[in-house]
Amino acid sequence: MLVQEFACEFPNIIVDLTSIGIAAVDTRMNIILWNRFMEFHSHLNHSEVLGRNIFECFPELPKEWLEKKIKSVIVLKNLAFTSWQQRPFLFKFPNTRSITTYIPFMYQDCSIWAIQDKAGIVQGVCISVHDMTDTANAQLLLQEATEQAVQLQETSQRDGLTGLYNRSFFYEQISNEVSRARRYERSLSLLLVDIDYFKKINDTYGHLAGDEVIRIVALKLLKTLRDSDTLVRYGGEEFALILPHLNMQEGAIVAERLRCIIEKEIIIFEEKEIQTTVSIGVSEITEGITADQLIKKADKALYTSKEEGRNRVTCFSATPRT
Amino acid sequence: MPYSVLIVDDSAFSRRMLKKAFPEKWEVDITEATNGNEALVALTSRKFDIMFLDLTMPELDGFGVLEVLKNRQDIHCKIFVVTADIQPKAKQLCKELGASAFLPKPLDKEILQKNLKQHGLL
Amino acid sequence: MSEQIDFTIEELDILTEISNIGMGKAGSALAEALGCLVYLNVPEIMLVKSSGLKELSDELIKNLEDINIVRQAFSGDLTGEAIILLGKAAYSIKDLLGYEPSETLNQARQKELLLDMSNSITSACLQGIARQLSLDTSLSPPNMVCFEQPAKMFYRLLFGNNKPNWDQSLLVRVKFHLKNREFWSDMFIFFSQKSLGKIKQSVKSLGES
Repeated sequence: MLVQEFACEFPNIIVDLTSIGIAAVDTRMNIILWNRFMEFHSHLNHSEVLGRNIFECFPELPKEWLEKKIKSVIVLKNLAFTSWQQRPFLFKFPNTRSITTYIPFMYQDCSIWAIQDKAGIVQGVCISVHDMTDTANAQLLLQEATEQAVQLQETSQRDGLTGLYNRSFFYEQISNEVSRARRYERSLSLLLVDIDYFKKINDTYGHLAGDEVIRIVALKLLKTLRDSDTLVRYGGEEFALILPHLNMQEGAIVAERLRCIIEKEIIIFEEKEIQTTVSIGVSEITEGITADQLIKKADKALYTSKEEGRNRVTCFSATPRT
Repeated sequence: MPYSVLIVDDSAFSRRMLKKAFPEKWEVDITEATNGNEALVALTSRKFDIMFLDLTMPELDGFGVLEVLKNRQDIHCKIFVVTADIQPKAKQLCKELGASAFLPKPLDKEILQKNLKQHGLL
Repeated sequence: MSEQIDFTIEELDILTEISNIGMGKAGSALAEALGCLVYLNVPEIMLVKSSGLKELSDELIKNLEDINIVRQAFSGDLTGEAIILLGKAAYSIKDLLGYEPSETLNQARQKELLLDMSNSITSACLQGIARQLSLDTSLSPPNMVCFEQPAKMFYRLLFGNNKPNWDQSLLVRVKFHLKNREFWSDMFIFFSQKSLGKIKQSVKSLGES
């Protein structure tokens, strides 16, 4: 076949195309071209649609918006686009992969362009429809997976450095423990443990040394735990210890033991010897107390330890010290 | 006697294009101004038969000139606005402000000729 | 790398004037397409060097807070990219584009509206210039670079941390807004170094005619 003869076949090739949808409407929105792709997916033969108003054939098309878009193309003589990312589809065609994919409709990218005659007058517009279901599916799955991963990280309850539970877990846990203690009318004490002069350690020996100090302190605290106790890394250089069954006095004894152990410990980092101490605040549950109030009391006691020289244990006292 | 013509446009290229569109045997004495202020100075210093006025210019633009002239009883001159801004509202506003004609750029020879004849300037 | 192209003052004057004419026609077409009075201000033309891009970017976003950026490439005789900055008020023009009054503009719809407006403005302005120069060009689909991000991200989002691999570009800047509507956009058409030769050629023949 000569090239010219072949070129004359182009309109038929376009019409018979099954991988891209091509439709055309005149300036009054009547369908003047409907190719095989469109036939297959709409289940409407071209003889059924030719000459008919496109909005009559497809009442679910957003008429007002699409008409304005087409009219804009006619006036500007340009190309307009729709993307599945903003609008899943223009034509509501059922998804062909109906057995394996749960998405009910075909995702589409469409282009609209003006058809001009030899005099340059616009006689209508052409609409091309590209099936983007595979791309959309893949991207949506990726998005889902990413969202899940992020969510997992957020709700993760472990502190990376020490392996201890973290702050978000602590709040959950302390509420539960307080409720339980009240229900069974048992004691419960809370210890807030803060490493003294931590900033100075970081500044003097570096952040990696600081991290090592936190790790060692965490280990020492862990060793003292009983089964029912909860130890969390509460903040940068702060730990919380929930001790069920123990009242303030008993909690204070545990606290003092911990203070001694850490005072005596020599932490080796890169051949340097680092010594550190901790300040501890102790509180206990009383009649009608909330978890929040329990934490606040321990915090106040911790503050007092710091104020009075550090490396000590203070029990919360309602009466101000003189 | 030649017509005295004032061309007001900040673009040298545009002024040249305008002169190219003038009818062949049209006898004219041309003065050029590059913005509205220069135009007003020229208009108060001598009488012009016609002014070709661009709309978008720095300092004082075409609309500014038209507004000033509306209140000046002593300046009589046919005003042809020649502009790239061809929206209907702009045309309407110019007519309200006293323009005799509103012509799109690039200026078409025939359109200019027709308008000049219409206003007795040819 | 193509060689440096220089434009004489006269050539820049011609370019400014025909961009002006192009924008006039674009404004008229957009007004008809949107059914609303359109303001396209006089375009600013400048030759930019890639070394001055950061400084230029900072100047351009000086008084802006949150912005949307759309990008659209074009090819043919004229090649390059249009970068369109848009304000937040997509709601103010939803009726012009045929969205139902009852339809709330969720993020997807707002993005769609911004992409649509960018596409219309860019094609009208680009065609305006191309026709005056008697050169061909066609636009690729628009692409959302960012949606409601702080303006100071402008340079980083567009040009990243890499040095641009071009030397010069011709920049045409056009500001667009609608009468009685909050909607505004600021468009930067960068003509790539490749097309500068063709542009200069067209301008020269216009000057000599």
